Amino acid sequence: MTEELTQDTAESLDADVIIIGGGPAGATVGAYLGRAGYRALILDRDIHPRDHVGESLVPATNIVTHDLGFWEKMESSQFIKKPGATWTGTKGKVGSEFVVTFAEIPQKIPNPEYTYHVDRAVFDAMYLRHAHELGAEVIEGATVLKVHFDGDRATGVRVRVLGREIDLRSKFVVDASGRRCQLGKQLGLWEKDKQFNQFAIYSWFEGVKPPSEQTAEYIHVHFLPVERGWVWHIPIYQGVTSVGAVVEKSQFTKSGKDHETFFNELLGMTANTRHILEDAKRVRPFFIEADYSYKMDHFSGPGWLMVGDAARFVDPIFSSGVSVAMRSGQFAFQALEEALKGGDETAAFGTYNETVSRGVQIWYEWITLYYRLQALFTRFSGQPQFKADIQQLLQGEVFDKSAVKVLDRMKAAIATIESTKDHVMREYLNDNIEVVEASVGIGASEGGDR
Amino acid sequence: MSEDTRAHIRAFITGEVLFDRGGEAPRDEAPLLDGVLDSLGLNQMIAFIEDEFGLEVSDAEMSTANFRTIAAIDELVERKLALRSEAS
Repeated sequence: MTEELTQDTAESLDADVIIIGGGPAGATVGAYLGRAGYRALILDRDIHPRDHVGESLVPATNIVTHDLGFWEKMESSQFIKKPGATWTGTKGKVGSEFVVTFAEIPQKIPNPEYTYHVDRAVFDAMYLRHAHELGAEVIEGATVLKVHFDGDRATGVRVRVLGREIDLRSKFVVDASGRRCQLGKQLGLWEKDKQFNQFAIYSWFEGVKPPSEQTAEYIHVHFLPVERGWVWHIPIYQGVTSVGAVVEKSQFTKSGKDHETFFNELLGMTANTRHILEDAKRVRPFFIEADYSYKMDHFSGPGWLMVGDAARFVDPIFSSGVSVAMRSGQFAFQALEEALKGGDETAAFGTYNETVSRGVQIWYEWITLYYRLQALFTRFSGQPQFKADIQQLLQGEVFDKSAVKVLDRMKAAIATIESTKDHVMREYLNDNIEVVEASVGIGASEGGDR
Repeated sequence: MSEDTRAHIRAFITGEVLFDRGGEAPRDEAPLLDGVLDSLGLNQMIAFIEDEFGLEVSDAEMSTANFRTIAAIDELVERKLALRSEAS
């Protein structure tokens, strides 16, 4: 960004930064920009509160919620504290679970011993309001139709609001449109993931029983005896629990069953899943998510950045969605601030691209390793030399450290299993998953701007 | 063979890994890999052996032959304990 352009056009621009979407990614960018005194305009097509999947946070979100002064609001909310995660097996008895408690190996982050499970409708609305209080302008019910470009440089958006289509101009455009991937689709960067084609069916229930009383406030992951199948079990409010089943989409389509029957059959498969719903009553309709795994070649270009789900989403297994949204939003702000101050935009946006690529690739490798051999990580978690790495991954700290030794060790273990014919884990290997090296996509090109 | 080792392993399986269907402890020669120990149970079992006996089970040692039955696991543990005492 040259000084000349900034001075000549600043007055006629509608904002320094237009942010498409007011979920946790967009609100983070808006909150930081607003607090720093920049003109941030968040356009959200929805009217908050609105429902959203992804109700469990990881401790890495504490970095951002503390930094923005939002943590206090979470502390005084009705949300339930999340001290860790547990897993139950397909053949285990009720209450037999593998437990990971964050406080065992606290990360170097604020309040490392817990984070929260959240009702996303309430949480997202609170967080967007917080961004507004810090100075971001927010317009809800405003649907962005396209991003305007001058050559390859993003210059603003066309938005439908008040029954009209209006063109707005800004120095930068941030795509935080979530899984709609406004910019990725417009630029043809969006690519369906080749390996993951999962399907999620979920609702809220009253009267769900935890696997054990000691872990009532943990997130529970219940393995299902079907390919890549598992159940999330997230306490939302006292007495209200989100339960969702994730399976390969083909499982559902070939079943020919209706949602309720399909869900009940899946949850009837193990002792633990039968137990949790024994006395439960569903209090919402079923919600469905499918076709949600995709990637982009790069996350930034001249005048634009993608944050959160608008950049990449793979799979909900490790509750990574909101943390990637907030952390990428924080990094996007750092890049934008550098450019807005008159620094080197290309370098700043390039750094952003590399940081986010590295983080989401580590997530991706971790997720593929997990699905390749679902229970492998419980073995590593039991070993002192890997406990810390596993905890770091589970707590969402993937951006700051690129070398995660345990992933290499897991790959070596899988290689041994593959080459040992009578290996006890051989039958558990998922042959439909290919483990992708974390180096893929790191330092990807910047769309020709460097 | 060690009755003591077997009793430990049996108690672990009964208490920590099982039972979906009752409370009966598996006998020494009862097959474990067909319906008793799933992948999570196997991992718990290996972690248990490593903690309880101070051993490290390598990836290559995780064979079906070594984990087929309580007797087989006992043999693996005894073999590794013997190796360790020879080495020291």
